[in-house]
Amino acid sequence: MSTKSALATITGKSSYWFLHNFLKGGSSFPGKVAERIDPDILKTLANGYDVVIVTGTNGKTLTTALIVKVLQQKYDGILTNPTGSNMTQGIVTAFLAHKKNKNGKKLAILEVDEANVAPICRYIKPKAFVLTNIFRDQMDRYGEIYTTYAKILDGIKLAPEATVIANGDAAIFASKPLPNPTIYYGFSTEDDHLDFKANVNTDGVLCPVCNHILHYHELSYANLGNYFCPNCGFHRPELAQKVTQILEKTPKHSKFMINEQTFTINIGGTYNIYNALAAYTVGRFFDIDPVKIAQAFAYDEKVFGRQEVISMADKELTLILVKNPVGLNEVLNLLNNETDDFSLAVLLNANYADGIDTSWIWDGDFEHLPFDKIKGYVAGGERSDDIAFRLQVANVPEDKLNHIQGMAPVLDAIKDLPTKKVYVLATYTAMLQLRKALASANLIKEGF
Amino acid sequence: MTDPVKAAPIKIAYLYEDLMNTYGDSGDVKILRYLLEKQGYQVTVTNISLTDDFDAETYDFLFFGGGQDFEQTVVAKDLLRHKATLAHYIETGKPMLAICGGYQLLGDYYKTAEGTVIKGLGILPLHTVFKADSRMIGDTEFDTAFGKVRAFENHSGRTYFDDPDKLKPLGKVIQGYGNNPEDGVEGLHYKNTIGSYAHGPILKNQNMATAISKLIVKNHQERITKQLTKTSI
Repeated sequence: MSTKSALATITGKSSYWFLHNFLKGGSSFPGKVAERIDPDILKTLANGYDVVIVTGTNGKTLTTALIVKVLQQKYDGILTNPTGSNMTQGIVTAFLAHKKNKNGKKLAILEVDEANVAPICRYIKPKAFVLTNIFRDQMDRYGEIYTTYAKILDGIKLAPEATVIANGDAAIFASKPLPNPTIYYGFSTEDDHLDFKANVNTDGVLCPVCNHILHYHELSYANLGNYFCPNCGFHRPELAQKVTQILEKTPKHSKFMINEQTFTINIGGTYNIYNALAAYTVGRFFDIDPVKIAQAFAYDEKVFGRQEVISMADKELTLILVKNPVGLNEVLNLLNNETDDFSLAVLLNANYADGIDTSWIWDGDFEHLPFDKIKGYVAGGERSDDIAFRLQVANVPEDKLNHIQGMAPVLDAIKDLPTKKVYVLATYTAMLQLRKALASANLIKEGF
Repeated sequence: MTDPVKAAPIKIAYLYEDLMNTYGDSGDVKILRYLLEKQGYQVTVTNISLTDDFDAETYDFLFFGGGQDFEQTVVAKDLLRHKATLAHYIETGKPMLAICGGYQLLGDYYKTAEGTVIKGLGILPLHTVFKADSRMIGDTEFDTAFGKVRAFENHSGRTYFDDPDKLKPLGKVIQGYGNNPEDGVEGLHYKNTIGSYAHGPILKNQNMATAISKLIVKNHQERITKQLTKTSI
């Protein structure tokens, strides 16, 4: 280690120690300090590690958490970065904060923001990339899907020997030839006799070879599925690992088969089955036994922080973060699996972290909510006018819709809802404000 | 007795709904459908996509939304097949709303950031130049014939009118950029065709949504009456 790297490491570590112990924070600042002293610090810190980079627009956090759980079946002391700290500085901090595993394998599972893959690959040559999907996401910040994928490719190009473990049901991941060894995972629950197109409001349905509209034999959600081009024959690549059957789906859990083995995860949503499948594929890549992987999935639901249940008075609140149309639509689908009567609160903000453009809510399929099951609605957040009008246009009955300004009154409005079960969908900063309000009311602890 | 005009569904053509669908503009159609259904009309929305046949005269309203750059280049090629029917529809004063990419494609051409010139419909004398490094992103506000409109823009294309005597803007910019950073105007208003960079969607401004829904009802009434007269003869 050079003197400069050593100094950077010590400064970074002590700043992390100070922030962590005295200020209960420090997710990116120590990394910033260390990077300032030695811009190459990441190369030094990651030396000797097998690194897996998890990226894509949706599902990074849960996929990363699940991969860690799976690999913990075999390895100790796995390094990972906390959610939200998925840019370079946050990753430097994660390395600084990590207690070294003296004898065992050095393994780092990193969730990386799409635009930060290339900057990180300048210093780290990962063993594998995991690509979850690319959907349109906060277009005011990230741009269009092809731009996002180009950014990820810039990083993959810097590590041509890394294995790419990609969602085979996303045509975009087969659109550009790569020198890397590639493993695809996907859904194969139907045979090939069907031939249909995706819903009209789906992005990324053009054949990358001949620009005709792709058809499908099977479609899981959005544009993910067993695609093929009727014009030029471009089709889904061979899958190495596949979900072969969905056995049960509720808003709280899913049971499914990967190859011949049954798996259960304690979180609903087809998108989370994909996340589990990605983690399974990484587990098999590291030679973890499928039975052990099933145990890892069933073991603990704490990793599922993005879909959290809180008790408030006589209510049971399920909090779900929403940020882009595909994610929102999958959450709305999930509500269609609910068997009890429930109420729905949607909290919309438009700060930088939420995306300053609220137009994406109009691509959310609120028109197909299970209206007969939903007994009450709350529209809230800083942009409650927008979400209230959206719900109105979706034909939510006006007498059931409570339009609320500000966060404190939202809690009261939720308490007044007519059902025990309440689903609360919130954008990122609206979720933070809601958590703060819940903490002030002593319903949850501050922070988490 | 049921009114035969009211009994006939209002027909909306959504141009390339499966490709030009990225910026939440589907909301414009959802809002119009909602307003029209509240007045007792049935509404059908037809996706006119690649290689589909299309006769604009059989519709009461045309909608053309914004899409991603790649999709837009593919749409631009296919769209030229429909130039005659679209030109006739627009020139005879029937209602159309074109947002962002849809608006750009009504003009003569657009020039991509890489310098490629892509031919548009050439129905209206305007052109667009993309500047990749200075995207215009943010809240917008402008004054229109329908009153004040608040929306959101996100575009790298700068649109210029080539015949300012023929084309009038949709509004005067209060906040944001509009057509381009120089002219201080937003969108286009030609007969009953409106072009705009405003997402949000623009028709969440109910003053404008109501005005357009009235134009649609009027056009529908004329189309159905004409049809009924024909059948009775």
